[in-house]
Amino acid sequence: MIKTTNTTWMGFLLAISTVAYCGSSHATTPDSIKESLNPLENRISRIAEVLKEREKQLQQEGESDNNFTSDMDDNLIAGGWGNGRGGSWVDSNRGSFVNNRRGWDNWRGWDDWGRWTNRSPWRNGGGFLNRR
Amino acid sequence: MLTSQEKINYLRSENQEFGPISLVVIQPNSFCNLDCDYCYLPDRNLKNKLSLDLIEPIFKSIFTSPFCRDNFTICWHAGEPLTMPISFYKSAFEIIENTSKKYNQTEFSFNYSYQTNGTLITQAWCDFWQQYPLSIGVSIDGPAFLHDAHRKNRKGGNSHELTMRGIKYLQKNNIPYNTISVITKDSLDYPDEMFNFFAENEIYDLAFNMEETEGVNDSSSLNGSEIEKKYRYFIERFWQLITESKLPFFIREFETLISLIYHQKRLNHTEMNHPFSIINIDYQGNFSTFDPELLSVKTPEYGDFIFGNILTDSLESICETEKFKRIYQEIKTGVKLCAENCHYFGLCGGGAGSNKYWENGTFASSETQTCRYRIQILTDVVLDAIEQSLGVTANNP
Repeated sequence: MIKTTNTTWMGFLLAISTVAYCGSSHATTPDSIKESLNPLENRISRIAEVLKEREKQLQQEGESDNNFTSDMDDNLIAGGWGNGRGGSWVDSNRGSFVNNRRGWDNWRGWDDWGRWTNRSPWRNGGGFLNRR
Repeated sequence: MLTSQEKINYLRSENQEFGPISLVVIQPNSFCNLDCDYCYLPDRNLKNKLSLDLIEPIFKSIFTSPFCRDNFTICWHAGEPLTMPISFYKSAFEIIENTSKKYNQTEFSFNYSYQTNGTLITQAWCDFWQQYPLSIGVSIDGPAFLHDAHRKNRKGGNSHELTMRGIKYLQKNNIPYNTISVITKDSLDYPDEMFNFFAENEIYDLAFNMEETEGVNDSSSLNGSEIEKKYRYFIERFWQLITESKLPFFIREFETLISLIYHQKRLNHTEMNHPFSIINIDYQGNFSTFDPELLSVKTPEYGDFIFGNILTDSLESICETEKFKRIYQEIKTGVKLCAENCHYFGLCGGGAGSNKYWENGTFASSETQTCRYRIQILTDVVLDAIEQSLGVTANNP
């Protein structure tokens, strides 16, 4: 079972990159991005595809008992890019909002206004990137 | 001729594309107890205070607005919000809660945040904050020698020690907080010292802001291609230190970018260039939208950026003013230019009008030094690092 110290995208990336990869990538670029492909987008699509393939491999090998990325909160982007320069996704879907103090370790995603963004805790507990 | 009600209905339907409000930035006091040399605010020496009498009208305007269609954060902001007493906020929060009960007919809620220099945080503040859903943003530029070079008090003395005292209070009381560090030319030589400072003090939630040419800060120490190279190295080195540390760092810039990449999500605008995502309110009840940085400044080209006052104008009513239309049109033009000309657009959303104005002289423009630092160089470094860590190259997935 892979464990790292924190449930962050950085932690996810580190966990993924430590796994020996078996297989080859069959990168498929989403249509929405394909229409406006530029070299940078091409590069990003390739990286995304590899990340997902390796995540899938981890799950198939039983290295992870959770889908880490399904629990990572989309609001990180909506609320916290750059100088508070949070954007809205093309298909924005903001997450739930809980006005209580429980589970605040999972409220993250900061910007220039001290805001937090909900980062869902692990469902079912545990997982390969369990923080603290 | 439309009746008043018909006009309101028309405006409401037309403006459904605006919002939803995600952030309400309130300036309870223009005064700041520090005098940072890179600050953009012109009136931070004046003690203009928000009256509690304005709190209900402010939030009545928000809760009854067609733009109130999501949860939002109420941020107490510039100057230094903690120069107002705890008693002010106790009363303000109570009024806000009551106003919500009276006027908020949506399912949506709100939380609070402060953006503070941290020097005035005490146990009493923490006791107060424990009672509410809130988070604190603290401005600290890293170790004392970097922080104190720019963040002086009004007598020219250092502020780092007091800011750290404030952070220790937050840590001791488990108050959710993050830090924002302004990166100047000075910082770029010290990625290891920056990293070690945060690691040693268990400050893990970090964000980097570039020193910007903005407002009364009419030049940035980050100008020049050589400095951009140093910044690239700084980011590369910080990434390396984070990945080697195994500590639970959450770096705003890295997290956002990796998330965008993984999800294959792209931005088509930002909160800063989209009307009524952010509502900015000054001590007199004047309000604005777009960048909070614009609320307190005046420019030869646009005048001020106040669109209305909550005592006399509804939020949606200002959409029909010539001032709003002109500014929004220029901002839209700028975003369109970004979309058409910049490969990084989907990771950026067209930036912020304030940077475009201060650097290019108009909102209707695209690339800025700010976006080169904040988006382009950062993206290049992170993509290189991810490809290296995954062993991905052009021909080798």
